[in-house]
Amino acid sequence: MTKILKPLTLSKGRRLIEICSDFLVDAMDLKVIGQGLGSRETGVIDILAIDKDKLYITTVDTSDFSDALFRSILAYRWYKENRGLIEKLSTSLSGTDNLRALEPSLVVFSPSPPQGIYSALKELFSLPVYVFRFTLFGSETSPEIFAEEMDASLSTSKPTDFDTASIRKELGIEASNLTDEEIKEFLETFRG
Amino acid sequence: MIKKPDASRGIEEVSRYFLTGARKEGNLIQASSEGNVHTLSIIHLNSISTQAFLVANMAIELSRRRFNTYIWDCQDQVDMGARHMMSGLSVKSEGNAEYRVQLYGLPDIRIYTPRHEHKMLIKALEKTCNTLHKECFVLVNDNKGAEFIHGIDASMYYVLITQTDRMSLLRCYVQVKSMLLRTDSRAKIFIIFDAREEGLAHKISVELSYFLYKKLSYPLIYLGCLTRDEYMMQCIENRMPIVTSSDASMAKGKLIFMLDRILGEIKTPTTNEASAR
Repeated sequence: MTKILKPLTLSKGRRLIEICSDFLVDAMDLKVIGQGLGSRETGVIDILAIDKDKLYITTVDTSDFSDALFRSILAYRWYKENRGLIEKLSTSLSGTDNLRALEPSLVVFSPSPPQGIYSALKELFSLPVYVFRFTLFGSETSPEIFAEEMDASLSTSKPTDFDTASIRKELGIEASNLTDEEIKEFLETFRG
Repeated sequence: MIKKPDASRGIEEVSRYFLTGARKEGNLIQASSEGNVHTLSIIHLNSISTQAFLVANMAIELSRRRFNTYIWDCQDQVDMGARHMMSGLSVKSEGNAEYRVQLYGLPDIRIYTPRHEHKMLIKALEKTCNTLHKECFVLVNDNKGAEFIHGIDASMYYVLITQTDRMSLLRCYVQVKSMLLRTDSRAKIFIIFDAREEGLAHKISVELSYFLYKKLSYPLIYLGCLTRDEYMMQCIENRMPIVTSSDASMAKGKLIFMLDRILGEIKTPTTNEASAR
């Protein structure tokens, strides 16, 4: 099927949450055990996902980052107050009965998280926090998500050293106007 | 003497009925009152023979749809290039580095080799198409990124086929960037992955689109994965087209589907093109 992968802004928050939920399952190999848990007044968990060690209380930024962060904190509070209910729910829905043993963590998906937010949150919160920057592509009917984790340790570490001159020679692209930084960035993106 | 309508049909009409899609809903690009030349450059970054195979089959499929089709064969060497890939058909030399592929009942395909001066050739073809009031296609069996296209005042469409290892993808990125620079971002580039795993290719297409948009503000037009079945490999080996065969083949279906999508995109001018006019 032809896909014209232009950036996309989705008007429906519900759909966006579903797309992020699919990403957690497909790309992160997590198990989603609930969506939209709680109420607007007391806190809502957009997506609740688990793996064998952790529980991921996930909030999706549908309007602005500060609102999403506040909702994330409320969602954690709601989780703490309703842990028993969630455990029952997860047992009946997914057969997971060891929820109490899992370490809770906060996940925020945002199209434009502020610079430096990851390290700031890491200092403030005692529980693990993950911030994903995402971009949507395609059409409303067939959207695609590209998400990357903002990680302070990654951004400060020295990037892999590529011999750009020999790469240029090997690929026969000496005449191209690609900068060394562009080549490195490209190869880092596709290192998987 | 008044000529009575024939009870029988001529070979051309019969051929058109059975060999082309003309009897169906109609071609995606309708004949316009004025002729128009669409230049479509085809580049496989990893395989010259697969590239020639695609050029040959796209040309035959366009001819099946009654378009006047020309091939500018920059890879014309001994046992390589588009005319060699069609050597199972009737290919006649017209002299002056020009060849004619006869398809009987369908428009012939003319092949020009690099000895022709490209600008003059395109101008001549434009003139012919305008006289005929026909939509024409020039398929370029490309050599190293079609530097010669630069400066030609014609539609610029590219089909880039690449494998999905990261070095091939980097070459693909370089090609896209230089094509956009050369054409003031007016080029429309269709990407096809030559990969076995459709799922992995799909994931890579999203990553590539992210990078292209971030760096070049260019939306990727992804046509999917090239399917290589046994039948396609036989066709390449025997220098026979796949699109006219009656045998069922995934590769054939996919190829025709991709050409449908390309024609669909050519029909609709992009915003860039519209604003450039």
